[in-house]
Amino acid sequence: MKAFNYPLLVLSALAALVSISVETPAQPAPETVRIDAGSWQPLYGATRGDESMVIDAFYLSRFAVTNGEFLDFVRANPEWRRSSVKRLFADAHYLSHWAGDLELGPAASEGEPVVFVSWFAARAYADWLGMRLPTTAEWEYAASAGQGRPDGRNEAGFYESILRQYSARSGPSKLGERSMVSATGTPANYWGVSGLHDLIWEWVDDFNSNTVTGESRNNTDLDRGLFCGGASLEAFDVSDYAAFIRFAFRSALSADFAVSNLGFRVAADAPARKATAERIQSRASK
Amino acid sequence: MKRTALLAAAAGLLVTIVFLTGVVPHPLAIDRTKAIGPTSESDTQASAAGTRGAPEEREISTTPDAELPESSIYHLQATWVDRHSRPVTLSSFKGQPVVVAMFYTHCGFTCPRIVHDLKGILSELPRIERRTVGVVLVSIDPERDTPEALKAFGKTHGLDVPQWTLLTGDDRDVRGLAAALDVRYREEPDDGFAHSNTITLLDPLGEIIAQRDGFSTNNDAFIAELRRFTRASQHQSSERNP
Repeated sequence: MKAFNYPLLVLSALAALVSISVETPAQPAPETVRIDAGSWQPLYGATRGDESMVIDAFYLSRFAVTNGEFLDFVRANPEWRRSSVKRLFADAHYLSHWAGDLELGPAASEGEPVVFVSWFAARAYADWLGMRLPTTAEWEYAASAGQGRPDGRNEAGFYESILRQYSARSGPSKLGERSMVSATGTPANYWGVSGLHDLIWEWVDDFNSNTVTGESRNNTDLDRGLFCGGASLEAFDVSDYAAFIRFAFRSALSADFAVSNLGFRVAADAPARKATAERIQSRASK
Repeated sequence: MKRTALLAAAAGLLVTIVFLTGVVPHPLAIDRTKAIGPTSESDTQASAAGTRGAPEEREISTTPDAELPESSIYHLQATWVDRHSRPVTLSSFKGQPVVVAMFYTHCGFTCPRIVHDLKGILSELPRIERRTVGVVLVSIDPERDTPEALKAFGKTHGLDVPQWTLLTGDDRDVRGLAAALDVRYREEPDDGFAHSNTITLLDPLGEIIAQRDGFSTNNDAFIAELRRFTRASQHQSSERNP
């Protein structure tokens, strides 16, 4: 038998092995669910009760973004590390609960929703994934789902349970003392989305479209000089007090704010199933 | 045997080349995630610095953007388009005080009022100081506010180049600028936009110095702040041209 060309064989085997072992960092892909197109009534509206918005189908992440996920982001994007970030994009509280630029530490568990992140930082994270933040309408629409159906607002105890969560959240608690709740640790709603009401407040892409100001809860003395927008600014459906609280909270935010109980989740466009979208459209315009 | 070995070697090399060049995605590897975020040169420097220096230290970048204070609006990377369809970045206004407001051309009452107030503020300045100020109006309705629409608006209201710059851009960038300026706006289904009426003064490095909300306040405080910069620019200019 002729001598087998071992060097060449070894070389080609090595080449194959090298190509298998080369591993580029995995792109994170959050678990998302598809929220079907639907109609939703905004909280505000000159003719509340009549005006519905059509929400196109979209993807929403099942859970809020966690400390661990955000750590991956700042590792890959050093300009978003705590010591590097520009003040335009995040205030001095940015990631203040972490032990260091790249160290979570005891006050920030990996699986917990990340907080102390500004709107700009949340947007940048979403960009990094090729995704975006949900809009107010999308978030509210997803959050109005109950356990068993897309619209939970007629389910017994729906509002009460949310308001209970909110009063617990706004109660006094020092950062180190609050209990660590995993982003995945709360029950999912009809869409399979968790934590919309029972963990943290969440950024939305158009947070600055929320325009409560001063005593506008009474809606009679709205300073017309401050806002242009007519009757729609004065009409709030306060029967959904929980939504009103969220609306008011968002109105108080600035884009650079990093706050102890404010984080976010991510979203993406989804192609609408045409027939469904058309049905929703015709229902909404009736 | 030799032919077999050669074929095996060729196959192995081919596999390596195909996977490493990314012609075909490797079954075990996934595309490297692109770093997205502020992409100015100073950020690249800062990111390089970040991997070298101690976490708590902040290294100073030596690129032109290093001159900008951290809270300068000019760190926003958006490219806008003016009424002549020319691309404009806000950082091109570096070096002069700027008064900026957000508006839209179809706005019935408050935007014309904003324009009126801006003209009023300018007219309070001595003429020689007035020309050092850049006035920038950015549309919150980029869908309808094309360069042509901006041009027509500029003509209607007598907003002369180069003092007045009218800009339109990407929805996303509009949201970002509004966020940085603390301007609130929302599209109403049949009714234009609801938006706050805010005029902002930026210093020559793009930092927010003063803001005026609403129409019930008088403009004296705003003008006083503006004049701190226009007097300084005018003084510098007269020193250069005695």
